[in-house]
Amino acid sequence: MTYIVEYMTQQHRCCDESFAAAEEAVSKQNWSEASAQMAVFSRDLGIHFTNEEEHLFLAFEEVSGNTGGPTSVMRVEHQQMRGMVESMTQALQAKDADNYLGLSETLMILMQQHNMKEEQILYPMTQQMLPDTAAVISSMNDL
Amino acid sequence: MNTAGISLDNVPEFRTPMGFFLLAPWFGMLAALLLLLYPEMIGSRWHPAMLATVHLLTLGFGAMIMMGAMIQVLPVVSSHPVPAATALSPWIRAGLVSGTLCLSLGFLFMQKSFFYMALPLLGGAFLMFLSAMGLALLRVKKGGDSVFCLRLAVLCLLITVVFGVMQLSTYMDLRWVGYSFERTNNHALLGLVGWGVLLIMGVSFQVIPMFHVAPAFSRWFCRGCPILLVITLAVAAFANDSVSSGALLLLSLIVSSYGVYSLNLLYRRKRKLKDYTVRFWQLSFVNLIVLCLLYVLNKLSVFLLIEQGQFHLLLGFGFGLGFVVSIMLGMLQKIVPFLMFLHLQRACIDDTDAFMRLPNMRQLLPVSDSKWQFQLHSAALATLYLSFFAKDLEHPLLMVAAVIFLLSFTWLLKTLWQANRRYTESLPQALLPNISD
Repeated sequence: MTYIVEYMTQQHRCCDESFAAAEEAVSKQNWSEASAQMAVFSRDLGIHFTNEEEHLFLAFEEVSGNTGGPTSVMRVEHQQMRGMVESMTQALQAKDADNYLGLSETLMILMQQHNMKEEQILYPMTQQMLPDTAAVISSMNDL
Repeated sequence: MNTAGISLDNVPEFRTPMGFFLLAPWFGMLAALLLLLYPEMIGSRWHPAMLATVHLLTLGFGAMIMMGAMIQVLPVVSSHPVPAATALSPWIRAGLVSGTLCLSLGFLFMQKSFFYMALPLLGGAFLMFLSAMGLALLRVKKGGDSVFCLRLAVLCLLITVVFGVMQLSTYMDLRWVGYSFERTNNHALLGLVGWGVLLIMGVSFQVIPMFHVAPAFSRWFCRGCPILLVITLAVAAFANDSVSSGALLLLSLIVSSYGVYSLNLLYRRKRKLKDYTVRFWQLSFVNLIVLCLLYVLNKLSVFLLIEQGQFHLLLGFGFGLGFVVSIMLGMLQKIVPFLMFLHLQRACIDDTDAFMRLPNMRQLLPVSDSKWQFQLHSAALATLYLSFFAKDLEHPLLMVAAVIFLLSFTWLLKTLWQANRRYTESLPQALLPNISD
């Protein structure tokens, strides 16, 4: 796969699946399933963020010469989402469904708004600018 | 490639959209009060109280929320902000509030002096909004399907406003155009189906897959449907009677196919939680499909109403309150707490303790509030529809519907007000003077 947009978007969808499954399990108070799905979600999200921060964004910043632009906003949003995932994990451990669902609702929209900016603006821009997208993709980890 | 003009962080200040959202329920309440005081308005679409009620709902409630939402949504879907949004918003709101009140008073008491005030106030508000929005939409070079839809919606709004201004001038002593019933029909058609449906379509293409983890609308539909809708709308508005009649029939098929497709995508969503925004979407699409079906049956000479003259009122109210307002109510339940959370998070970004103590979306706007909103709005709609089919009980039922709508809009105000208070209380103290106003 040599297309950044396609490869990274697929990772977003993959995270959505385990996120929705964990949320549904919490709403049914099925805590073991919820923990398993949440573990998958936070692992996948972590890999995806690392792929971006340590490979894709670096390559973009190098080519564009711009480290304070779109990628810096994306890095800040990653931090915000990491904080929320941490709060959700605590709510899950405390078996506090209301708090978990309130946080997951919030993370969902935050995450989707973030994904939209990446899928519609940043990834296409990166695809166009990077000289060897295949090399960048092969340096990243699959989910 | 020049990346300097691209910004992924163009969220307007919180008070900008929220200022619009907090004003809108008052107009819904006023419209419900008029319906309660003048139930006889249901006898004719030209009744002064009917004209006042319709404009309180479409301008005071509908346009108010749509403008606030567009100023918020455009930077997110296009990465381009609306120019001078923060500076212009108070003026747009002031013009829309005072202009809508003057226009409604003008209709209600048929006083020219109110029309003289309404024209510059509303004209000015729309001129500011359309100029800023038009400029923002022109600046977007590579807009997606949503931006494409929003452009067409804004074009329809522009024509709706022009027709509205022309009609309004005929109530005054400006004799530059004569009154035309056809222009009123086109004003309503372009406002509801053009601006209303296209804006909702543009937002739904983005929001339904995004918020509910549903499959995306297919690409051909996202481009084909708005184009077909605009062409059909233009033919329906400007062609001769028989061609126009056929176009209206086709229009109802296009709009209902959008409703069926959206319902199907919502059914296939992966996020199956109990969610009142989803219920509002479902309620509005079912309304839309049933109304289109009624329209087609009417064209085939299957008449269901006792008073056939009220058919267009049933369609208009059903479309406005059942389709458009339902979606607005549903979206507010999600957008408002999310924006609050987003701004709170930014305010606490350097303070880890404050960050971890932030209220989540459900604490800012509780699910129980959304549940009541859904139940009140559904009950009001059901009673309103029932009144059209109840011969002797039409007025009493309409008054009951008016009372429930009044409760529903009051509930919305209470919900937004309380959420806003929770937001303000959650802000770090040091930031209160800068952000909470």
